[in-house]
Amino acid sequence: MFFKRKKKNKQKEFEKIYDDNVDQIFRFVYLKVNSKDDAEDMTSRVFTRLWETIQREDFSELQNPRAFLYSVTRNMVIDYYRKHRPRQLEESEGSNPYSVPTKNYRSRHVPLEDIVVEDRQMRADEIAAIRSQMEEVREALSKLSDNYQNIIIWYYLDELTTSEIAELLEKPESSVRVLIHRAVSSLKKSMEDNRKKKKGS
Amino acid sequence: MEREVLRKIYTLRKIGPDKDWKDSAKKSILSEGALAPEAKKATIWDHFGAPVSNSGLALAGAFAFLFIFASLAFPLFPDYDYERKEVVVDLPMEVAKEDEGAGELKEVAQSGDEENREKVQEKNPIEKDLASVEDSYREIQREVLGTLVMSGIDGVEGDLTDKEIAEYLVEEMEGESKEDAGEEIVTMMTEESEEDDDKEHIQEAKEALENEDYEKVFDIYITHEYN
Repeated sequence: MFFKRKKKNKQKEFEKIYDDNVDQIFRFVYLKVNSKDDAEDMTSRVFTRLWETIQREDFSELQNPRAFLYSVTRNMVIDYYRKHRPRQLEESEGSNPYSVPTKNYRSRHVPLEDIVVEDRQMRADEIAAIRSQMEEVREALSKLSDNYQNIIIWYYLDELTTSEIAELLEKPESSVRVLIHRAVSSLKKSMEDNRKKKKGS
Repeated sequence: MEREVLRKIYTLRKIGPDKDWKDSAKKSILSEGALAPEAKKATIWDHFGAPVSNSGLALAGAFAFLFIFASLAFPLFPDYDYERKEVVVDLPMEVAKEDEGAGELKEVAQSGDEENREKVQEKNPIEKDLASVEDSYREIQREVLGTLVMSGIDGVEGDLTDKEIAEYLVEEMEGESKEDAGEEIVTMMTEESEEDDDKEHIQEAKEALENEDYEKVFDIYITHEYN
């Protein structure tokens, strides 16, 4: 009876952490790997690791579940990059303008259609406009350094505080605030550069 | 422009996993500790949870109605004067008379000409007080705008020079540790360098960092990044 209750408590703890974080972890992975299938697979493995950790006999409580999840996720993403070498794509007439080599192993362009973004209250033209903006920022985001990408995702999308980000990056909080500012400026520049390239082509 | 960028960043919040996949993945992890080969189709109760009893809903609704009715009939704070009062503030300050000295000071202050500013201040003692207010205002404005810049708020950068923005960023980093700030700045400059000119400045900054001359690192950053 005692062990059953203990197991049930652990399961409840896992479910709570899962429900609170699965969307963010999936989004983080997807923006890094640009593949829905890989994002689902990696997200599952992250939470499987969490469940394995919680089930250990010596486990008492996870002080900062989010930090744990992001730490595991980042390591998995790094392993993923190591396995998927960058492909050098030549620009040819009629080729997709987004298919250019990037410095961070994300040279293939994957459309956003396979990701569920529809909001039932939005019209089709509104959804199309949103997708276009998402493509634009996602393309620009992929050209930033990993640190800047992580910071933008964590601060603006996942709404982590600067102190939480500082803990993840092992940097002072003041540095994180500066990095946030620099990351947004870099993203803005990347978007402007993409726009100029599109106009020029 | 930052507002436009932020608005587009926020569109990425719409990215998320399928609801069915989420639920089935959770069950798979719990039951098998690993991903099931195929996602199981969720039932309607997996989406909405256990059904809520009608009597429970009715009871909650009745309590809510009673509470609202009672709040309207008997105000929660009976002593509070709900009528809106017009507040009149009697400012005991004397407004300085407009004279040519004060007007001239404002022009000189805005032009940033420090030498002439002192000469103008000598003509009229009130101008010294105005100069002090101007400085305080400028300092407060710089602090507030600097904070807003760090939050990515659009438009406020226009009221700060590029050099002021860079100085504010350096101050933010310096606040905790000069050594960490110096290292961080050199890392930022290295990661962001795109042109050949940058390499010389980065090398200069690295040498200053090795010599623990952090002020020099900050100067290089401010001068070269924002000029």
